[in-house]
Amino acid sequence: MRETVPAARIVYLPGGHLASADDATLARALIAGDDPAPRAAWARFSPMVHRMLKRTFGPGQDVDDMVQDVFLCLFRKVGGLREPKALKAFVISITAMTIKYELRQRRVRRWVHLSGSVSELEAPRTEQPDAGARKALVSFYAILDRLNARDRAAFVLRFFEGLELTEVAAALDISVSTAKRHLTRIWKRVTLLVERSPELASYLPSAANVPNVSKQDDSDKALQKLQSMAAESSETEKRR
Amino acid sequence: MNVSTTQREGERLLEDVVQLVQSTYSETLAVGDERGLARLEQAWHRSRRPWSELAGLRVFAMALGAIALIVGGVSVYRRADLLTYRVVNGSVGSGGFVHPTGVGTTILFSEGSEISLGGEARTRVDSLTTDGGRVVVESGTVHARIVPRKHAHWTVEAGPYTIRVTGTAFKVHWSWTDERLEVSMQRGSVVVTGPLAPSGVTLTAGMEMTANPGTGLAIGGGDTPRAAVPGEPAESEPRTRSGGARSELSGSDVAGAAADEAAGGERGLAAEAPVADDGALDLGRGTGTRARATGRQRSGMGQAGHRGAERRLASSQPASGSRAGEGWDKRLAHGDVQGILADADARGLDELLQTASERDLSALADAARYGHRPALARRALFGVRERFAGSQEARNAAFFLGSLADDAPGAGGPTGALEWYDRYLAESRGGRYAPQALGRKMALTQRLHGADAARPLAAEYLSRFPDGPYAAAARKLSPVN
Repeated sequence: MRETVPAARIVYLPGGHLASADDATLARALIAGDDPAPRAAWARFSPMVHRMLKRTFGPGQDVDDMVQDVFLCLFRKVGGLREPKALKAFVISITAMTIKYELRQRRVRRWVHLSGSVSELEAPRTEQPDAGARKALVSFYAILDRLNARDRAAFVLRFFEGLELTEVAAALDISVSTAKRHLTRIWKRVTLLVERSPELASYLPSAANVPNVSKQDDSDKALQKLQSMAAESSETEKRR
Repeated sequence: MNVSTTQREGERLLEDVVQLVQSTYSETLAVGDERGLARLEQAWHRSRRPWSELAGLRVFAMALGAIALIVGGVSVYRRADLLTYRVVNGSVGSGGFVHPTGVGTTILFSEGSEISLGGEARTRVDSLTTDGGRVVVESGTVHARIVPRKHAHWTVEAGPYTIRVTGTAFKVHWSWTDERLEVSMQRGSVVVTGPLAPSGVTLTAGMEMTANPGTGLAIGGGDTPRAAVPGEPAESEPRTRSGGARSELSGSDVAGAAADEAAGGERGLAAEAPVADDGALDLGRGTGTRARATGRQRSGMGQAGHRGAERRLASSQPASGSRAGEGWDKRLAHGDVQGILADADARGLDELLQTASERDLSALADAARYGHRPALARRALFGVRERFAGSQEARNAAFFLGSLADDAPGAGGPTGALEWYDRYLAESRGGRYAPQALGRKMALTQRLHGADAARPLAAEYLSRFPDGPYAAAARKLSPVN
C-alpha cells in the first residue's frame, strides 16, 4: 500500500550563498541588484509575510497579490534602507503598511457598496476543518473589522505575531509609548467585544476539541503571556 | 460574578481565539509557491524597465485618449452646430433646387448670410458646414451677401467656375447657353477659378469680371486682378492699383502670339514685356494687344517709363528674385508667371527644351499660356510630348495644344484643334480634361460640319458627362430636343 504523504512544501530555490547569508548580506545584495537576491529574499521572508497577511485578513482571503505587493515594494525601497541588519524589520514595516493600505481600500469599497465588509468574509475553505472553529473565526474577524486599520495592524503584530513593543512601534512608525497606549486600549476593546459575542461564547467550551489548538497547559502559558503583554501596556499607561 | 472574573473570562476567551488564529494560520506557507515567485520576478523585471519607456507608453496612451476625446467632441460639436437655411418665397424641390414661388426668392442661412435669386435662377444648396457651405448656380443670376466671419468658407459654383468667398456681397450670373460667367462685386473680395482663370483671379470691391470661351476673360473696375496665391486669404492679398484700368484678355488677342510664332517664335522670347507707367501690364507684342492701359500715362511711354513700370510690376508680382531658387511649378503656384518667362528668356528655349525637367517644362508651358505667349507655350508643350512621351504631362499637353490651336488659327485652327482633342481623348479617355476635350470637340464639329455631325458627339457627351460643363450644349443638340 502506498503511503500517503502530506503535500511537500520544500522547493529548491537557487540563491547561491545568499540562501544561508545573514539579513545584512542579503540586504546588501538586494541593494546591489544581484540577480539571486530577490529569490533569496522571497525564500526567507515570504512565509512570514504570507502568515501575517492571512492572520490579518482571516478566512477566505486570497493574500497572494498582497504578498507580491510587499516584495515589489521591498525591492523598490530597499535602496533607502540605512541599516542592512534591520532587513526583517523593514519587511515587517512594509507588510504593516500594506495591511493598513489594503484595509483602508476595503473600507472605501465598502462605503461605496462594492463589497459587504472589510474582510469580505466568505465561508472558510480548507483552512479550518472544524465547523465550530470556522464559525468562531468568522465571528472574531467580524469583530476585528470594527477596528480601524492602524489598530488592527497593531493587534496583529503584537498579539498574533508576538512582536515586541519596539518592533510594533517601528513597524507602525509610531513611538513606543503610543504603541503601548493603543495596544492597551485595543486589548480591552477586543476583550469586551469578544465577551459580548454569543458565537464566541458558545465556542469557548468546545475549544479544547479544536484540532491544532494547543493543550490546556500551553493555553494557560499563552494566556499569561498575553495578559502580561496587556498588563505591560496598561501599567505604562498608568505611569503616564 | 464580579467584574474581575468577567474580565478574566473575556480575556481567556480572547486568548482562545488568538490561539485559534495562530494555529489555523501557522503553517509555513508559500515557500513552495513557484508560481508566485515567477510572477514576482516578472513584476520585478517590469518594474526595472526604464521609466522613460513606461512614461512614453503612458503619454502615448493618454495622447490617444485625448485625441479620441477631441475627435468625438468636435464631431458632436460639428453635428450640433451645422448651418441651416430656409427659403423665403420659394420651396426646396428634388435635388435641393430652390424653386421660386413668388417675387424676391431668398435663401436665408442661420448665420445671417443671404442669397437672393433672380427670376430665372436655378440654384441649389449643395452642402453646409459649421463655417459655410457650397451653393451651386445652375443658371441665372444670384445675389450673395455673405456675413464676414472668422474661418468662414463659402463657395459658389457656376458652371465650371468656382467662386471662393470669405465675407462679401456680390452678384453672379451664369449661362450654360453661351458659357458666360459674370461676377459683379459690391464689397469684400472673392477668388474666381475656372477654365479661363486656372490659377485664380482675385476680385475686390467694385470690380466686374466676365468670362466666356469666345471673348475670353475681361475684368474691369476697382482694382486690377492678380493671380491668387493658394492658401492666402483673399483679403490680405496686396493689390496693384491701376486707377480703374480694364484688362481684356480675349481670344482674339492671341492672334499676336500666332504672329510671334509665324515670325519664328524666338523673337517673342527675346522681347521684353512692356509695362505701362501706371503699373498696368501691356502684354501686347508684335501685332497683338492683350491688355490695354487706360491710365493717363499710357501715351508717350518711353524707355525710362518702361523700366520704372517694370520696377513697379516687380513689386506687385511675387518677388521673382526671391523665388529664383524654387522650381517653376512652385513659382507658378505663387503666380510668378512673368518671373518664369523672364528666366526662360534668359536661359534660351533651345537649351530649356533639351535640359528642363518634365515639371519645369510643363510649368513653362502653363506660364506661357497664362502670359499669352502661345508660341512659347506650344514649343514647351511639344517638348514635353517629345521628351516625356507617355507621361501624364505629355498626354495633358495634347489637350492644351488643342486649345491653343483652337484659339490661334495660325497654329492649326479648328481642324488642328480637333486632331489634338481626338488625340487627347484617345490617350486619356478618363483624363482630367476629358469633359472639356469632348465638349470642345463637339462644339468645333458643330461649327465646322453642322449640328447633324455633332449630335453623336452630344449623345456621347451626355452619356459620359451628364453634369459636365458642356452638358447643356449637348442637350440642345441631342435628338430628344
